[in-house]
Amino acid sequence: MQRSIMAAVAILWLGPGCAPTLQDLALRGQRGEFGELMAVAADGERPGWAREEAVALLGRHRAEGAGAVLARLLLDERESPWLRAAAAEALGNLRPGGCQETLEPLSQRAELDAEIRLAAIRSLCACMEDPERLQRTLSDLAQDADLLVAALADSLRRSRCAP
Amino acid sequence: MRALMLAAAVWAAGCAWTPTAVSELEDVRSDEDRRRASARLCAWLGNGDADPAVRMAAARTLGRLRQARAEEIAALRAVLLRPVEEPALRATAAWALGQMRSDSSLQALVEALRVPLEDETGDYVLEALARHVAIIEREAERAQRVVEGLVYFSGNRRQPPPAMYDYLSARLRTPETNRRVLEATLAANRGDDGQRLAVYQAARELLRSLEAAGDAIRGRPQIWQPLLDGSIAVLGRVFAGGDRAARAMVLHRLGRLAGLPEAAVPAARWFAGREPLPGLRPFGSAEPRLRLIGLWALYRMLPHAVGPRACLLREWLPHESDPAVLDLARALSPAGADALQKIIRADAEEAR
Repeated sequence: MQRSIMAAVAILWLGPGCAPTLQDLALRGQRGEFGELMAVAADGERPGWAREEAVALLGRHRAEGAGAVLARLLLDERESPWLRAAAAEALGNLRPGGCQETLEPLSQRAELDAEIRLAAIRSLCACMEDPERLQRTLSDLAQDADLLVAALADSLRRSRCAP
Repeated sequence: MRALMLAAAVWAAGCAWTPTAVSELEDVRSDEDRRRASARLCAWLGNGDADPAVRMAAARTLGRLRQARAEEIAALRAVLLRPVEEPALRATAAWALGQMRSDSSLQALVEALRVPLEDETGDYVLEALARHVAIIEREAERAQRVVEGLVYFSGNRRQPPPAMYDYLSARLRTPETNRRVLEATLAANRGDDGQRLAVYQAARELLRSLEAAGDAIRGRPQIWQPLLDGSIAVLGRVFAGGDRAARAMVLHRLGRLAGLPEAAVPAARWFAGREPLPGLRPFGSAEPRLRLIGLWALYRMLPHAVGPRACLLREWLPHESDPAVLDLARALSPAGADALQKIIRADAEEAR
């Protein structure tokens, strides 16, 4: 009897869809439990969507001290392009010191997954402190062979990063 | 107790159908697991009775898995092309097809350009097409089909097309693609107002792209010559069979292009050659405007070809009596008109 109850409880808790929820993560963000979110983001055993959501929340809530975790995820080539792109976006929201040095080279790497490059370019506007350098970088990217990269860079250049 | 376990299992299974649980299928590692995951995702996506959020997650996850097999493309294509589906779901299907970057995903997106689309969904289709540019550019015929689709798409939108439309057009509307589009538009031969407008626009795009390629043509003229010859031949057909507006536009744009010898020579052959081609003589027109533009265009061709001079002497000078044309010619470019007069006078004296 006891074993059956334990088995039932185990099914309920370990069922694949029931572990963390978007609401759980959002609540942690609202409560400022950034350490928890950073742990979820860095935990490769967690579902991809949960890690991406944790990364996005860290950026959205401008979680102090999350910059290093986000930069590490962004630069880790073993991670999925989706998680890395989310980390690039989050860096743009967080704007930690030195994010320009992380994002700019990635935006120029043609062999990188387009999602990562696009996210890096979107975040460059927030991270770049030198407007002239930003315009130069965007002008170069506007000539990129990848049409999406070129179009995004060109529209940001023309609008001077206005949304 | 069995009932309790069954209830728990059912509940857990229910959880597996939440959008986040669907998204977890993206994390599967082996090829076999991916294949199985894709099959489940396709089934969810194709089930119109399923939770819309689950279907949306299925479409997004299919895109993220990037398994460009026939079943996945077919499931996404079906949703995208079905106007009764939710616009957000169609937009996600378009996005997912964009991630596939294959011949068949491109085919589905090109088809989508010709079905009714919400404006936002259309934006996603264009973005997805942009992800296929490398594939599109591999074959001129493919580029032609996409450009024809884009023209159709922009004509059916309520709002002006988004910026991506211009980026795609600028990239794909090469002179060669534009020539092919114009050929195909002429071949449609419907003879109605829609076709006349389509021919006008296709001819203008071709001439505009040739003009934009000026530096490239100057750099490697031999490579461009066959394309220029073919383009001007088809533009001659537009002129011969076109309405007033098309004729004036072709002549004007050819005049602008005549700064390039590679364009001026074939244009002069067609419009002012020794053997008059029916309908291709601008000076045969009763319209002063057309004669004026013809005069200017042939004058621009003079330095590069012999035909225009003889044509001006034989066909324009003896017959032109409209003072407005002469005045307008002077007003258009006083230095040019003067120079023209000198040439004509010199030739006339020589002939005498």
